[in-house]
Amino acid sequence: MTESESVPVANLNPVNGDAFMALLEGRRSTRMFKEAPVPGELLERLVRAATLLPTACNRQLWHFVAVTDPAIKATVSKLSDAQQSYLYDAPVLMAVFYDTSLETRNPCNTAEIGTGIAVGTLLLAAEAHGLGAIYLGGIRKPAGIGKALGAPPFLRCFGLVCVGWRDDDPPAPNRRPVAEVLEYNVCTKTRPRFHADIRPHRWSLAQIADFRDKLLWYKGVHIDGKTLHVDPDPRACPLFQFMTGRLGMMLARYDKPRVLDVLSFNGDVVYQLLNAAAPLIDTLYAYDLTPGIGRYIRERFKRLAPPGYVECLSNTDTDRIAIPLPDGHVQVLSCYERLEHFEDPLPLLREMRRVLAPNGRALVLVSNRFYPHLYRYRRMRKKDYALGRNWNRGPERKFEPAQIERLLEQAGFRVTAAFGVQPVFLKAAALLAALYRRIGLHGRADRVSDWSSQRFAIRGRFRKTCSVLAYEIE
Amino acid sequence: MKSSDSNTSNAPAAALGALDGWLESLRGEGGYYGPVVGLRGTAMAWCGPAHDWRWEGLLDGWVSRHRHTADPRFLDRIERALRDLQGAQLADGSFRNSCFEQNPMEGGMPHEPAVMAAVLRASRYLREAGRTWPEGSEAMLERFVEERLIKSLWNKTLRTFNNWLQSDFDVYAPPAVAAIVETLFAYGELTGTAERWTPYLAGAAESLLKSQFRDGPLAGALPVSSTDRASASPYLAARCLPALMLLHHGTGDRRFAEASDRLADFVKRGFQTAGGIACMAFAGRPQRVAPLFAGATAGAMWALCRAGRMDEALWITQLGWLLALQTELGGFDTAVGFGAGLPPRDPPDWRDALPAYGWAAHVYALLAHRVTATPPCQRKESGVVRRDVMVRGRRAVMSEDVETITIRDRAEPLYVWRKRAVWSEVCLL
Repeated sequence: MTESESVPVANLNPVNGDAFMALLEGRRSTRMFKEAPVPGELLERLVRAATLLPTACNRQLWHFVAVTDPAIKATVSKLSDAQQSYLYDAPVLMAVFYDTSLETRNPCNTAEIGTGIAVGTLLLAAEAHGLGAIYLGGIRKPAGIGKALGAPPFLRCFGLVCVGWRDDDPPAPNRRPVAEVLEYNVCTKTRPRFHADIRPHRWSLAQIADFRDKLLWYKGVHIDGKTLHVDPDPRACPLFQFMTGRLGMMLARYDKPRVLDVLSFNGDVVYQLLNAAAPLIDTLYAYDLTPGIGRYIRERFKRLAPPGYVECLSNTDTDRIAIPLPDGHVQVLSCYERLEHFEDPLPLLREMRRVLAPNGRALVLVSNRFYPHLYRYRRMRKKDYALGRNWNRGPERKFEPAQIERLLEQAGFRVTAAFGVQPVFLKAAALLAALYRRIGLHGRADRVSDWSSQRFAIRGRFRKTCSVLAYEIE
Repeated sequence: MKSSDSNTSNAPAAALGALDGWLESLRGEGGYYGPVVGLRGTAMAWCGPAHDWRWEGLLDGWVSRHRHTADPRFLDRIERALRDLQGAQLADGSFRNSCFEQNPMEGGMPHEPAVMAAVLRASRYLREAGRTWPEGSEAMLERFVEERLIKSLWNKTLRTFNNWLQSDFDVYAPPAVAAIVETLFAYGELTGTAERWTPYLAGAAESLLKSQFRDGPLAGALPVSSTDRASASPYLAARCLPALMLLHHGTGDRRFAEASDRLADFVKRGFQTAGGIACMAFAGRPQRVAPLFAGATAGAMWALCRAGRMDEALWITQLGWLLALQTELGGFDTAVGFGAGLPPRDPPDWRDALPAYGWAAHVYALLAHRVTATPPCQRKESGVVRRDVMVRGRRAVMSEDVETITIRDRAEPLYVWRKRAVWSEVCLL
């Protein structure tokens, strides 16, 4: 029987099928829980459901430990380095293990897979019983969970599931369409799109767009604020503050300007502008490559701005950069470390030039190739540049100052001011201050810190030694 | 004012009148404008209407001034402040631009609860004075308490309040918790819902006690962050005093009175004999004295006054030091000892000399509390203050007139801010 000859969907027990699909469509990962406890009977019912699905040879090598004691939760959190707040807030933290003692060199990891199926079922059963649940992925030291709970070494931790009564209403995440993931009879799938390569020339525009969209929703815990991971808010960093300051001074030149943020991603720049200058701006455009990113930003700003204040734009073409705005439409434009994603950023720069009004101004920040960005090498070594391995930004190319200046000129921009941000000597100053503190010269250490704190952004020749280059252009 | 009459009996009243005028001269759409000079020093470009602890100083000051003068304009200002704050509130209960030197950013701590506590004090006073609240004020307070404090910041496991959403989970900031305690106490009292907040207050109170240093050079201090066991800021610790006294009076528990005794001793050790309060105290090394912030000194004094622990000798030395920092236009130098440390060099660092609104508002609350005379609001309509300052080791000239603050290195402008503009025109500091 081929797919076209299959039994029509309408003949398949539509009530149960529809209800099941509705259950799946409506399921969300819950990150905010009410304080009310989950009755033991209900919890047992969920675990019963989880154990009804198949395992290889019916070996049933799973094991569940329900943690309800806050002190034990705290120990689990500390030892496993999983610091999400909802881990504590959920009334039940379910640790799921699989037994490795009966698995002898099974190449298919059936114990692990069977436990994964059980976790999926547990999540669905929670949804069906009106509960909320979330599977925690960001656990840096899974072995710590076993240690915290006193599990024997042959029980390996599969993960943690938080279960409780839902107290949030998260938006629907993006899902890959069936046509993209299902094939019949032959597999034509080529190399995964999300490879560990950070060189932009290996990525097509469609791949970059797809990556950004998925990464955003994967990392998309910023939407409700409360459920952020422990990553610090980037808006609090001096670099961001420098950018906001420069951008604001541009805004102040115009009466109710239209502002465009290029490749907004999670909307941090837009968020900052909203805080800083909401009454001064006519329209704030957030442009990125896919409609999914636009939807993310709209969701995020629901709690911050009146409807329509932030207008989300997505690329109108799959093969080339095309900002859907008329020529000369915006007065102020920002592009915060985005050119790095492209082997040739000139098309993007030309589009930026096209939509910028003749009297408009733009602020472009790029990473400086000459700066020793140690994080980059560390991440490369760990092969973290693949979706799902770590929080990352996709392809990345750093520019030499002369290169970026030439590109800006080719796109038709004129540089009116150039800054270097985070000079390399700040690192040296920090080391020197630490050394002084170690040997008890605290006064000197304070003076060195004070000296360096005033040199965060510099102009002139030494800007080429900076981590980030900032250009004001018109 | 750099005046010779700073120790005469009418000097505080004259200073208050001039400061009132200077503060009102920075009134713009939606609030009070001005750059912030802080330890990070990056917030000089954005000078818009911030909703940080400047409101605390202003609101407390206006209440005191109305109490002393019965001038209805101060009540009008309180009502206008409530409307400004409503306009700045986000749907999640936090406020735009409440992060002081990290502005523009929402969710500032301890700024937001400190402002709300002051709003509640002022609201109660408004009612006592026979005025009604501006429409929407109750909803604003409710949203802040329910959405921000309880829904977002309350940590069920620690049984206290996190500092902000992105905090590491098991960290809290005692000065912020103390401000929240004040807010919840006042909110419960004003709305008749005190019982509902009891569990939250109990948890927060215990976390304050738990974080207090018991011995060593920091004995009595509360740290800036609960995980910091090596340093404390005398000024930020002082901000916890009124909350501890409230807890003592509210619960009758002696532990809070003893904790406030220990804390008051620590704070007083931070005051310098020549004037000013030390910047930081450490467990393993001497205090870091410089820079001595004028606003922090006034804020610590105001906290001691509110907790009933200010003594007259301290008042006299510190007040004299403070008044000497007033500029001719009525504002106050931000600090003494930025850059070169103490004794301060001449000319001073630009960060010392530039008056910052959020800090000056602390001085306002203090002076308004003590000055019972009725000095008029002396808003200067002309005049220029020019001073030599040091910018990154080079001599420059700072000038302030009624319209602008500028810093120039020879002909090159390093900083230009037109008063009541959201952004500075030039910022190369």
